Amino acid sequence: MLFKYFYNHLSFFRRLSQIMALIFIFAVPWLNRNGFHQILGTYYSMSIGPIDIVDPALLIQSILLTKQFYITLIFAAILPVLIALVFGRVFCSWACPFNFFVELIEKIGFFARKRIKKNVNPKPLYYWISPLVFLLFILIFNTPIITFFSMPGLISSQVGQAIFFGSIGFELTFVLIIIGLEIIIARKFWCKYICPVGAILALCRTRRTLTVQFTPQKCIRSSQNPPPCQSACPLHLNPRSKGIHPYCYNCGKCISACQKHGNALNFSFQNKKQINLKEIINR
Amino acid sequence: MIFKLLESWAQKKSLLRPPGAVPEQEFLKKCIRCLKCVEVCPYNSIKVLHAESGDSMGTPVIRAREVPCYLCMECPAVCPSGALQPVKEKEKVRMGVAKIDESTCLAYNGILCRACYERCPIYREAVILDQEIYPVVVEDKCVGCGVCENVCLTNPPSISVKPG
Repeated sequence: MLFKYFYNHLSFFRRLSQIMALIFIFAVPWLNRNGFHQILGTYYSMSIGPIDIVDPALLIQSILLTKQFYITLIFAAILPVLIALVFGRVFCSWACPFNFFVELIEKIGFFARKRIKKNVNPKPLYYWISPLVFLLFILIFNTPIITFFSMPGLISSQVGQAIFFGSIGFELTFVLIIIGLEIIIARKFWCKYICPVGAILALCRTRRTLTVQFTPQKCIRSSQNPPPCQSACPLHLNPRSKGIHPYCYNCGKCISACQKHGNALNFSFQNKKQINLKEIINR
Repeated sequence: MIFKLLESWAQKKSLLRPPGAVPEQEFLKKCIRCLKCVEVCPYNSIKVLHAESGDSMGTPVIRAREVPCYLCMECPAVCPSGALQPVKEKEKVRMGVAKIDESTCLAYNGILCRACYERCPIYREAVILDQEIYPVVVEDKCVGCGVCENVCLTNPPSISVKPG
């Protein structure tokens, strides 16, 4: 029953989670300044009591740069990798402050509305170009470039520095530039096509990883263009056709939207083969 | 702006890293800029470099003249990436070596001063007084914490830590 409550109020719980993740960024440095050191760190790496957590993308970067396997770092990556294996890219939609800010701005409605192509998901291949470029860059130029391009890391680090030293650097300007580009040019291009943090999390996908499941028999085939499930999706994916992965970051907005119509979408740990709506119509 | 960049490039060779730091080239690769060492330091000694420092940006640095390291050794324990390695005894720390500029040091110029000698945490071993007057750095014992640089009465300080 508790689970049902959670399911019917997905949006509320997700916002709660995002806000708590944002408060973390401010509260931790402030607590540290006042002598409390049990919780430390940023979204690059943090520790809660004795538990160390590190962004798995940074573990990969570290291995490539140093050509060594550092045990503490490997152990610290276990928890985020486990969460990604079970729940998918939930960090992106339920915690990442960059995504939170961009969603807020989208809600206020700054964007030039782009026409969304109906029933078309971007090819999964395009997603993997960016992380490949990042990893090649690391190998060729020996620079920790993922550190400089991790939006959650940059934001949490800048806030931490602002609270500790009262000063911030150009890194924050870079974040603001990217947010600006999201507003002016293309919505969600960072989360969809560039962010290396999300890409490494997306690698941790199995057949049993949490996914959005579509039951075509319940679909009412809404005449709206685009249909409510697709217009709810912040990444402009079509949840009714296959190929939402690796893009889908399990925010659940399409599920909540469909609850008002046919309730044809739900979270599932069983990756049943996704059937295209056209196939159903043509039978 | 360009001057600042040139300045930070020149200072790149002389960055004082927190205790237990691996050699600079390796440090830049290992440090994940998580700020945990900055946050855990009880004296707020550890500062952070900004974007002008190029690929050192986000890394921890100690500016001894502002706040020196007091060798509590909390920071290597929290470093997750091994950029700071734990050191068993504080005497074994090698952040750098202090160097005295005898032309400006008060003691070498006829004014009795024992500030660096008195404040050095490796008391009577890393800084010794030659003939009870002239401070001399014993390089093998100096840990490079920068307390001497912080308390030196002259400005600019007559004793300063050369990192590495």
